[in-house]
Order: sequence, then C-alpha cells, then structure tokens
Amino acid sequence: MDHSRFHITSKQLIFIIIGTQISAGVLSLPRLVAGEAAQHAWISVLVGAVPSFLAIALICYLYSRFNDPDFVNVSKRLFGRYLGSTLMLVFITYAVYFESIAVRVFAEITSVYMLPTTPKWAIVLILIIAAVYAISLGGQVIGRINEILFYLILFDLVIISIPVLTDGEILNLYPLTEIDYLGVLKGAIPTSFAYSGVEVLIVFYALTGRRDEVFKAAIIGQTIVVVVYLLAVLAALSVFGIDSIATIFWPILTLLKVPDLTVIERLEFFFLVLLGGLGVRPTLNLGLAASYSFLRVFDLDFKKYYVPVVIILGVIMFIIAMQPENILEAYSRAYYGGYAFWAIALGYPLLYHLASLIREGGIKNEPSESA
Amino acid sequence: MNHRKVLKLGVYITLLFLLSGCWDATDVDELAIVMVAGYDTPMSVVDTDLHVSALTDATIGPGEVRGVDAPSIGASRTSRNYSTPRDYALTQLQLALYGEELARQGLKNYVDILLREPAIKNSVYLAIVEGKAVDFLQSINENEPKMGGQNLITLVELAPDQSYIPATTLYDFALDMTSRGKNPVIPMLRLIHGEKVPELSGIAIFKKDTMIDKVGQLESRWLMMLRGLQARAYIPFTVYRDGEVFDRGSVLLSNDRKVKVVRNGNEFDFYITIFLEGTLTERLSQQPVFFGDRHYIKEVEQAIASNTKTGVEQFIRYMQEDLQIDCIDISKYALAKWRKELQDQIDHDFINERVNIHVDVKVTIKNVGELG
Repeated sequence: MDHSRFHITSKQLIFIIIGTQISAGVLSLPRLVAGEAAQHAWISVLVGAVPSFLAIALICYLYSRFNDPDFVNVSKRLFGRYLGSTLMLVFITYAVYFESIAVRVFAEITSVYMLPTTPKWAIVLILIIAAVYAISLGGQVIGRINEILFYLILFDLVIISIPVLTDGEILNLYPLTEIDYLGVLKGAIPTSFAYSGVEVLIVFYALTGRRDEVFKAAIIGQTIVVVVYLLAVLAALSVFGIDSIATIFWPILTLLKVPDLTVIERLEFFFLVLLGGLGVRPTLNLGLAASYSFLRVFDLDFKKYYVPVVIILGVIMFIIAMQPENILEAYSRAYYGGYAFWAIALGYPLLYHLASLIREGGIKNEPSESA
Repeated sequence: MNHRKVLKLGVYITLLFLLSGCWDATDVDELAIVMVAGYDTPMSVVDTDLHVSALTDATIGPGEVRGVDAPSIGASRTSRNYSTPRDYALTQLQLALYGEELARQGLKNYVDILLREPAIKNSVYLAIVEGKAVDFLQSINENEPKMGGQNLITLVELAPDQSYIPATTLYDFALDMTSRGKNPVIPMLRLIHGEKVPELSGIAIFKKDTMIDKVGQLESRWLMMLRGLQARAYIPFTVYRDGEVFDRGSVLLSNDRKVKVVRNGNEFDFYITIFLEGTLTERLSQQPVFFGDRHYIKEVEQAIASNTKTGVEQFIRYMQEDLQIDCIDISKYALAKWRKELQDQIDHDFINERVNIHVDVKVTIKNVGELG
C-alpha cells in the first residue's frame, strides 16, 4: 500500500476532530447535562470542553519537541520498546472498544426509530462492513468522508432550529444568575465525555502534512464541536425546560417530533437519515487510528498486512458491539468509556511529558526512528 | 483478481443480503392506519382499568371503530390483535380522545405509551370528550363514515384559528404536566344536534395530569387571553351612548399578552397586559361612521376592553379561589427570576396565597371593512 495514502491535510484534520466527537452522544447530551446543571447546562458545555482543549495543547506541545512526531516512535523512545509497545496496545484497545460501543449506540437508535424489527446484528454488521471498507482505503479517504459528512451537520443544525423557532421559550434558560457551581461542575463531567474523540490527534498528528498547522486546525475543530454542542443543549433546553428534559432519553430527537410541519411531517426521520453518516464517523477515525498504530507497533508491512488487520479489527468490533444486552447497558458502557477518555486524552500526554522531562536533554529535537 | 477486488466483491454481496429494511418491510394492505384513538374508563368491571377504541383511516376502506377492555393501552393492542386482521399503524395517529371520567382519574399512565412510542409524533392533538370517547367515535363514524375522522381532526387542529379554544398537543400536555409551575389545558368536545355533530364545548383544566374542572366557551375566551394562547375569533360588542344602546356588532380579533412580575417581600404582583387586535366585521346600526363620528372606533375598543377586563378578572377570582392552581401559565415568569427559591413552592398554594394579578386590556381596531 502506498504510504502517502495515510497523509491528510490540516483542513481534513479539522473535520476528523469534529467527526470523531460529534456522534450519537449529542442526542442525549442535553438530558445528561441539564440533569446536573439545570438551566446553566450551557455553562457545563463550555467547562466540559476544557479537558479537550488541554489535551490538544498537551499533545501538540509534546510532539513539537520531536523532529519525527510519530506516536510509535515517541513511545518507544520515551518508554523503551516493551513499555512503549504496551502503552500503544492499551491505546489501540481503547480505540477499538470505543468505536465498537459507538457503533452499538448508533445501531440502537437506528433500531428504535427506523428499523424496529431488523435484528441488531444486521444493523451492526452493515455499519461495520461499510466502516471496514472505508478504513481499508486509507487516511485520505477517511479525511474526505469526514469533510463531506461535516456539511450534513449544518443541515442538522438547521433542522434542530425549527422546533426552537416554533416552540422554544427563552424563559427556560433563566435566571442567568443563581448559578449552582457544583451542579455546573457535575454537568461538565458527562459533557467532557461527549468530547471524547479528540485523542485521535495522538495518531493523526503524524499523518498531517503541515505540522505547523496542526494545533490551529485542532483548536478550530474543537471549537466547532463546542459550538454545535452549545446550540444543541440550548435548543433542547429552550423547548423542554429543565423539568421535562429530564424525562426524555434523546432530547434532540424528541425535539424534532414536536413541530407539526405540513408535507415534511416527521422531521426526526430526515435528521436520522443525515445522522446515518455522522454516526459511523468515530468508527472510521478511531478504526484507522487503531489499525495504523497496530501495524506500526509490530512494524508490519502496510502493503501486505493493512487490509487483513482492518478486517480482523472489524470482526473484533462486531464481537464487542454485540456484547451489551440492551440499550441501557450500551449507554452505561459508553458512559464509563468516558473515564477512559480522560485517561487517554489527558493521562497519556501528561505521562509522556513526565517521561520526557525525566529524560530531557537526550530527547529534545533529536531525530527518531523513521515511520 | 487481486485481494482488493475480492474485498469489494465481498462487501457488495454482503451488503446486498443485508439490506436491512427487508426485515421491516410492511405491505400497506396489511396496515390499519389509526387516525383517532379513544381512551375511557372500562366498560366492564372485571380485571380491566381501561377501554381503548380506535378509529381507522377511511381512505383505504370504510373507517371503523373497534374497542377493547384491557388493563393498559399496551395490553389492549394484544387483545385487539386476536380479532383484527391488520396491523395497527400509529404513525398517522393525529388525535387522542379521553373520556371525561378517565381524565378526572389522571392521564399520566395513559400518555406514557404515546410519548414512549417512537412511531407516534409529539404533535398528536389531545381532546377530552364529555361522556365516553368510544360512544363519541362511534357516532362520528356512523354519521360520517368517509370523512368523520378527518373532519374531527381538522376541528381540533384549527380550533384556535376560529375560536378561543386551544389546540393542545401531546408535547404541550407532557411539558405542562412535568414542568414546575405549569398545568395543562385541553379542549373539550361534545356531540350536539341529536348526538350527531361534534362541537368544541370548552376547556378542561388540569392540575398536572388530572382534570379538575371544565369551563364553557365564554370562559374559555378569558382563559385563552390570560394564558397568552394565540387565537382568532369573532367577539360581539355593544356601544352605549347616553345610557342607551347606540350600536351593536362584532369584531374579528387576535390576542397576545405581555406579563411582568414584581416582588413585594413574600408577595408577587403580576401585571398582565392583554393585546387584542383586529377588524370591525359587523355593525347593526345603519348610521354610517366616517369622519363625522371619529370617536366611534375608540368607543368600540373601550367597550370590548371593558367587557374583556370584567371577564378576565372574574376568571382570575375563580382560578385563585376555586381552582387554586396556575392555569394561565404565569408562574414561569416568577421562576425565571427566582427559580432556586420558588421551584419547590410554586405548585403549592403559590398562585392563591402569594400572588396578586393585575390586568390591563388594550384593543386596537385596525379598520372597519368596506362600509362606513
């Protein structure tokens, strides 16, 4: 396989950062946040983004200290062959688990709203086959898919705004004072989980053509995610208020069932069709990150082993995705996966920084193993 | 053939066999499309809590009403399936009727399935029937077997466009039922003209999920104006000069409101301004009123404002003294300012013990039509 097929532009990195984060999680986010922070949920959305921005800064600063900022090279140089490889395998395991649960959650929503009698395994399988095929084509294709699907978010935002215009009430966001700081902080926890996905930068940093633009691109991508989440939470709050929102599983989807529109009738189905693409993006991005890292860890020939590894990855994803017995268990696993996100997105960069500080002098700007 | 082509071929073949929609494919001939559903207290007294009836769409055959007794709405579906050949499709459900007796017992358990079921939209309209919903549906279907259901839906849907009766959706009800400081109102229906013609008879007032009282058509007007539910309808007026009737007629008015709340210690003063705007549509006096009688429009406006103010103030007294709940949706303004302090008190004797309501009515007649 041509190695250049993994290289992405900094513009594509923006869309990959967005695509890995905005998925089915946004549908339930307003309930989770408003349940803790009430009408100040929007502040929790901003506070919850702090770990993600911090992760971007830590990852970019870490890699900026290396001439060849590849995850595998840096890990091996800082921790040695065995410990470095172990750390990478932990990351790969996390990525595969996370993308599998993302597929399952999306399959659950598809099952509830669109395909109630279709077996869960069929929905999961069809999503994974499509994802495996896209991943097998390499980073450039993944970058382009993310770019195209990004524009669907804009349509989704337009659709979400309709019930706000017809049924939204600004009073539901008041009072702006009386801030419950503890509630805001508690609400920031599930919000920060919704930002999981930014950690793909650990792998995609090295795949981006212009390294000097990575930080800027990642910040732009993360900011767009914050704006989308902010709008989604404000929209749901303004329509449902803090009491009613607590009773609804997916406030963003229920939001679309509220207005009675002539001809279109059912807005949520339009939204879900668009979401069909958005739902699998984390799987594509994390799947690529996991497959690429796996081959680099074991120094395998990309031309020979990349596609088989991606297929095996797909099989593992299917097995993990089918593990939860029901939707509540799937969501529970996704929630606890959020803590793993903290460990990976913040824990890894901090650990690597610590290691490089201990070994400082011998690391700075030294050439490392080539990719 | 290299491995990439084999992979592509494998993907295509697998996707072909996994066209997931096949599992969910349903022939439209196998569906009974439900347009209106009715819920009552049980007809029998043995082991049931509910009587569920459904009026199906008349476009693919004659409309029909079927009803069964069951412990719950979900259980009624199973009971019905023993005798109904077609699958009940609820995606086109547009109106849910509740018998008054059931509404007075509380509707929380009987809207749960409507809110939980993804196929059912939140814009389904709700109405309370004076008497039994099943009798109401059967009468509608017998008298208008082709269009009865659709006409009924249109009557409820367009209620605020031609009368001071609200069109309450499932979303409205759920929101008011679950939100602090709010209480739902739902239009009421009855049969007139020999039990054949449906009529919007007033508004059912709820305390959360339970119906506590009902008001007739005139009181519904005051309730709608106070609650700020926008409507458009004809209102009669009488203009007096020198103590005698000078003119009578009607105006077509739409309404809006503005609410301001001011706190005085432990008491709250609400200032509601009702805005009525529209056109003069009818005069019974034959005396033209052009420039020579420029005060006439002001007199009509004042007559309507005065009549409205009297009506809404009577309604406020009734609400505070008899109902003792906020059915005009003003508590939200207090919550928007003092939520932390009031959220646990607002549904308990707040409106009747700690609130003073002041109303001002502003009427604007924009024109007098084509005659003077």
